[in-house]
Amino acid sequence: MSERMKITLLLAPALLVIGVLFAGGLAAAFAQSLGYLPAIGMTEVNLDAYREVLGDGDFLDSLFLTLYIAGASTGISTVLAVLAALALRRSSGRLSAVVFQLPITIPHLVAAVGIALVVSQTGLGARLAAALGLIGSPGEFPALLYDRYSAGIILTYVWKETPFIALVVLASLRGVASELEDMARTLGAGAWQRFWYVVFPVISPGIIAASLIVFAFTFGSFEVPFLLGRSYPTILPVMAYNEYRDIDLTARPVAMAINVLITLITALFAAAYLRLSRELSRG
Amino acid sequence: MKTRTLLLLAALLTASLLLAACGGGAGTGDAGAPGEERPFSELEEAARGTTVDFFVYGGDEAINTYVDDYVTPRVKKEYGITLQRIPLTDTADAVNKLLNEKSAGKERGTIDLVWINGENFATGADAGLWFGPWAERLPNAKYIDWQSPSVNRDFGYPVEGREAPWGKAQFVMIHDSAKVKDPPRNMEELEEWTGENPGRFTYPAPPDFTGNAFIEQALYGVASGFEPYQKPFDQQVFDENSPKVYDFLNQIEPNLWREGETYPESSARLDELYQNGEVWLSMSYNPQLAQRQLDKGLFPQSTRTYLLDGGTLNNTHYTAVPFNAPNKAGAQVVANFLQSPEAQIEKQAPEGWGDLTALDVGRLPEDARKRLAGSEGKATLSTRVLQENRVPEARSEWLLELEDGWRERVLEE
Amino acid sequence: MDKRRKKTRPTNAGLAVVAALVALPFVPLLLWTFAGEWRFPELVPSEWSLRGVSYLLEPGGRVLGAALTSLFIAGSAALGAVVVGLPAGMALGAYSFRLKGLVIFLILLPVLVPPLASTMGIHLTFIRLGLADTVFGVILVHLVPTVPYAAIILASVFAERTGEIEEVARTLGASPWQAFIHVTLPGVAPGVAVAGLFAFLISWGQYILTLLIGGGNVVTLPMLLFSAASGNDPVITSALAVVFAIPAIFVLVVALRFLKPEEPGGARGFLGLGRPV
Repeated sequence: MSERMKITLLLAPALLVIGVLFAGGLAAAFAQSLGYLPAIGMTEVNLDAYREVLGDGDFLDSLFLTLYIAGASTGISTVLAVLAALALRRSSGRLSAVVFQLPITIPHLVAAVGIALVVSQTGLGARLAAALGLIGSPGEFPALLYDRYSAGIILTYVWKETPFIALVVLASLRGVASELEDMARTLGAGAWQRFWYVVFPVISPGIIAASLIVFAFTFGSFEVPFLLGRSYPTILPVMAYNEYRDIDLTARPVAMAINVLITLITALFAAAYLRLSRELSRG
Repeated sequence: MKTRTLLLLAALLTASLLLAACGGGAGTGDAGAPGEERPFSELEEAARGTTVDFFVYGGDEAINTYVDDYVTPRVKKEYGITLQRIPLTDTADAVNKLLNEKSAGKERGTIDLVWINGENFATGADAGLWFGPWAERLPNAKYIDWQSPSVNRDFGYPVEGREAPWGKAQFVMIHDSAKVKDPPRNMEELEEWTGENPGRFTYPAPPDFTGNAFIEQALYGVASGFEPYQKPFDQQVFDENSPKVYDFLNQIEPNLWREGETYPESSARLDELYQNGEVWLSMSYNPQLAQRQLDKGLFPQSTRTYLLDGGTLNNTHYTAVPFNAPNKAGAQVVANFLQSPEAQIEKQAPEGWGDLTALDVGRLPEDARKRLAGSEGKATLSTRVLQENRVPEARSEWLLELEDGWRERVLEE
Repeated sequence: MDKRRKKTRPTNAGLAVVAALVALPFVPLLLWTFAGEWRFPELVPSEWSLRGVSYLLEPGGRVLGAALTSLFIAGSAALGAVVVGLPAGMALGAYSFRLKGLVIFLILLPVLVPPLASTMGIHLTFIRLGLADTVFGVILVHLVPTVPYAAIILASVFAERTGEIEEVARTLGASPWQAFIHVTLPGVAPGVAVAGLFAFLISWGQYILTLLIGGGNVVTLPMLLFSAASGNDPVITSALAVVFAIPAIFVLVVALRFLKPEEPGGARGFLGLGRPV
């Protein structure tokens, strides 16, 4: 058979699954966001849901919170990951691989529960503080859960995502960057010069690519903020879910509108990531 | 290749759009549905050897234990029914699920029996989600006072035999008598108390059931009692009275736990705070909760239960059978068992769940009456005291508006 | 020589710090699992107990049932993801063609765009088709986040193969199909294993997708964990969290046997994507 035919057949199952379950679901969400819900008698297509959502103060609050959590988590993870990778690049590959890969495999909910037990006002951290005489009662320990800075949520994401980014950076550091750096050293460059002029430019596309993935993922993530976050303001995916659960079914288009908006934003990041990784592989 | 792939993709997307959007509009409400017509003996016969899926709020381990360790083996032994308890994080999820199923035309659902009352029942009834009437035909219905408005109306909504009473709840306050000698018994005293004891009080955020109750009590307390809210919803009355509640709640907010920046998500969380000694007052719909937690060593021994001036909210909770329940016969047999005097006695035992009986003790035989009269314990109140200090719940429409308003006017301020 | 020795001490210290931070959340989880009474401000439980463990091991109890359901769903999703992702990975890794970029984008989308949106959209359809409230329906939606991962990982595996051995086999008289079965498949087997393990992990950790489509009827471990975590019994919550984490750790151990330490498969896979052969 021709190569084209072969390629089409090879791709067909995956495209079918993604096409029907994912694209189909999104298409249905889009249709419902336009108010098309024949099952409950709504057949008129309109933009009411979008108008309501975009004009709603709650939505904007949610959007900012989601951006903040995703941004803070990604930023902190990236910085820590680069530092960790730089610090550990010369250690035995196996050990650092295990240490870094453990959080990647652990489910988010486990990380959330564990970290909550460390940072809560009656958690491990608070008890240590009490043992050191720093606090007397749980109320004196800073509130890191259900708080306005979403500290618990961000800490959980940082714990989970830093190793992922660190592995990406490590891979890159041990590859080309290592050779270039050796060359620079023999040419007499100092540690800082080597880092800034040689190492950093080589690893930065990888860092950015990994950061984009982490940002997109945390932006759309549901479980951790649902467990550790406040009920108001809440992140966009949780807001969509709450609207979806509303016993008033006419709130359904609003839920779907939020879903569509989340999809657009994360798709943008997906596109940016792809473009970047294309350039990266070409370079 | 280009055109072929594009065609393929396009075909897939169109197919899925069609699938998703295509009608199948299910029938609307069962106006004039006949309900259950078979005699109970026939139901028992049909239910033998079947499974009943019972959807119950799963956040209280005591309730889970009561259903799993007492009810399940008993219905198996006496009726040959395999009872499966399916936990819900929120009863509204079950209503939402049924609504989805009704829209999608799913005639055979997965819920046989659901624990429900209040707004959830009302919304479901409006949407025609409940099978019935059937509840007044149960053999154990003879122990229920169906004439009483606190039974035949669920938060003011007419029950009309579509749900069977399972138990009663009454709102009570809890205090740690070692730290709080004279707890606040009305809203003014509460305001004073929180001023003198900042950070030692909070309430669960609505729409948590107990949180709703608290703001309802606040409404009765600061805005002329319970009478206006027994009548159908009146926007004018609401606009006149609700600001008083919100103002009061905003007034005490800075003196609440965490300065009111966040509220515990559920009564379980509030209990956790109370257990840890972070707050000195708590609240519950279960008058026996304090005794139960005290016996388990979870609440401090100095915990006591008390009521508010003017009486506290009391309501009945029920079990209902959805329109598309696959095993309606089994569901009714289980509902009947849950109403039996022996199951009610076991349920009221404070070592277990401690939930008050829904039965009218006047209609019971002597020994059952004695055992359901109310238990002794330093953190409990006698049945007489509870009964004499009761007020009815407001109708659901008022509560829904009140809760929405709380979000906007208190939480988001 | 001296320089290298000087560098290992700070590196070992760095490794210790990182390892401690990684282990941190597990400390309270393990302590609470075996705690009997542990009031604030005690650093370790004053009383130990097996209440948490016996809750897990209750015969006919919820935990065993949920664990089996989770295992079944994750296993099936992993299998499905690999079966679907293998040919796709082959197409993406071994061939170049027009519109490849678009295909990669489509396959990558469910990795970054939350499947929550598409699942909410398709929910009503699933109900109508009788797929809601069933294990099969849950497995289907779990395919959405897992298939792309499998395809991407396998694409990078195929991209690294040069096809030399297959060529040799062909010149020796093997048919293309025989070459595929006896040369290609064994060659990509480690990659397939990694893809399957990753897919397993992704499905294993799913909560909201199972909650939405399962409708409460399909009870998996994360649902029990979430429910416990919303309550106020840290013993039960921690015990469930530990059980929930065990297969993940197991997967890590197994995966490490297939990966070279310097090239952790996942990261390389992402960066290697799109490289022309």
